[in-house]
Amino acid sequence: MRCNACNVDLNENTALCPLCGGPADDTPSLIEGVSCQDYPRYERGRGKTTPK
Amino acid sequence: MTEYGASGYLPLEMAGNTFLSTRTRKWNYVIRMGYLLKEDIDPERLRRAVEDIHTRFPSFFVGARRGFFRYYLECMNGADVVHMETEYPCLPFDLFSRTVPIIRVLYDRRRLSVEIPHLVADGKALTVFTRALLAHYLELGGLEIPPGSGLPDLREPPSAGELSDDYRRCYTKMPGKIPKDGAARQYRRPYIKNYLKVIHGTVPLADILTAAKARDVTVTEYLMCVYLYAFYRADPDAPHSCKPIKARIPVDMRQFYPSGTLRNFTLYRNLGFEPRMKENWGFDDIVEAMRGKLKPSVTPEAMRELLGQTVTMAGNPFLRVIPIGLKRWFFKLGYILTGEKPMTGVLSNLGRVALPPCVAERVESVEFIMGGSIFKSLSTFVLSDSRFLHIYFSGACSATDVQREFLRLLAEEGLRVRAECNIPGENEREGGL
Repeated sequence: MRCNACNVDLNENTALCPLCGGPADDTPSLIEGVSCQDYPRYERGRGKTTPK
Repeated sequence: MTEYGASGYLPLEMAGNTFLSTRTRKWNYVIRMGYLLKEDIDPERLRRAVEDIHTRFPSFFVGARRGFFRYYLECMNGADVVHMETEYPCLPFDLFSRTVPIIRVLYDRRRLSVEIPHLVADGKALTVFTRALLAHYLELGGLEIPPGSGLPDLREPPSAGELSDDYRRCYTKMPGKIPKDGAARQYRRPYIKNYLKVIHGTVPLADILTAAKARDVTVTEYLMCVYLYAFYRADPDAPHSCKPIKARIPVDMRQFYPSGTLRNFTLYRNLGFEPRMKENWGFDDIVEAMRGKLKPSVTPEAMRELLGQTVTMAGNPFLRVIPIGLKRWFFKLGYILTGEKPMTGVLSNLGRVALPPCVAERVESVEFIMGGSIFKSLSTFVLSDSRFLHIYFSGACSATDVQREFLRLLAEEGLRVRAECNIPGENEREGGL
């Protein structure tokens, strides 16, 4: 996936560019051999301090 | 017997004091280093690895304590610090906790991360600790790491050098005051509590080396110029500002002294340009304006002088005899005036994270993130592995204007760039251009 407005490769699972919010284009990435970062799903507002 | 082992307490060093003094009730500076592995993390094996290295790295398992004249770190044992990651990165710690050390070892599928308050250690020290943890975790899974791989021996006790306050050990008293650094243009976006947006840029190492070489600058200088340009482009009022746009470049002092400390030992330089000196700055103009500015300011002589002046000022006899409750406000005020005002944003280049080849084979990528700040809306860390340069922009705000300008410029310069965000699908434009 790529964002044509920003001219950058994107995560394979994303629909929007994280930089401009534009739609991801289904074209091959320029950089090969990079896998998706697999970020965790966060729960906003929880965990103000060290988990107990 | 080490300085720490004798009493169980370790006086906080200069930078740690500043980080602790600048805290608020619900916020403190947190840093994080992580590795994305090629296999899922086994939580029980990770717990065992943490227990095994605990005694080798006591300065990472601590709690902050107040003395009458100064702050201390107290060694803590026995609490489980390994948790599954479910919350935003780098949330603030309860620094004075009596039950849990101020460290989090987090896992989520293939990701292993360690978060600590910046008062405990700097980026280089955290790199040493996380590298040892990762290697031991893989060892427990059956990986054989040959001796001489550059990792600390876990059977040995921590050396005094690893726990020493090298600001005090290495400085020599210098006459004169720290040169005054004027206020810089500030980059502020609405602060969101308990939130951290991370934009991760990936660039092949060969591309960035070629681009820096083509302009006859170092990689750090090149990235600094891109950073300054991104701030200039993202701020519509910058061209009319009488304040300079400045990037803070942290400098690892270990390169100038025989130091193996695993605590803070970093100073910094603020470098930038004045937008009003010219109309419509292009990237070429900024590269020319900044050429030759960084190298002379980070020579061993210049940094030794800065260390001497900084420690001499922090050790002011008046400051030493006032109680810590009052002293904290001097530190906080000093930090706001001389620490935060003279810079627009931080750009820290940690360099290459050197892992033993057998460990590197199991690692997909490395990450380094700084937590959100109530003073600054954006922090940027750069580090590399054997193939890629990783750029981590982090901030407790949803704006992506500087990140967008930064990565777009790299793409315009002919580099191959990949952008990812830790909050997929969230693409607010608020605060942007």
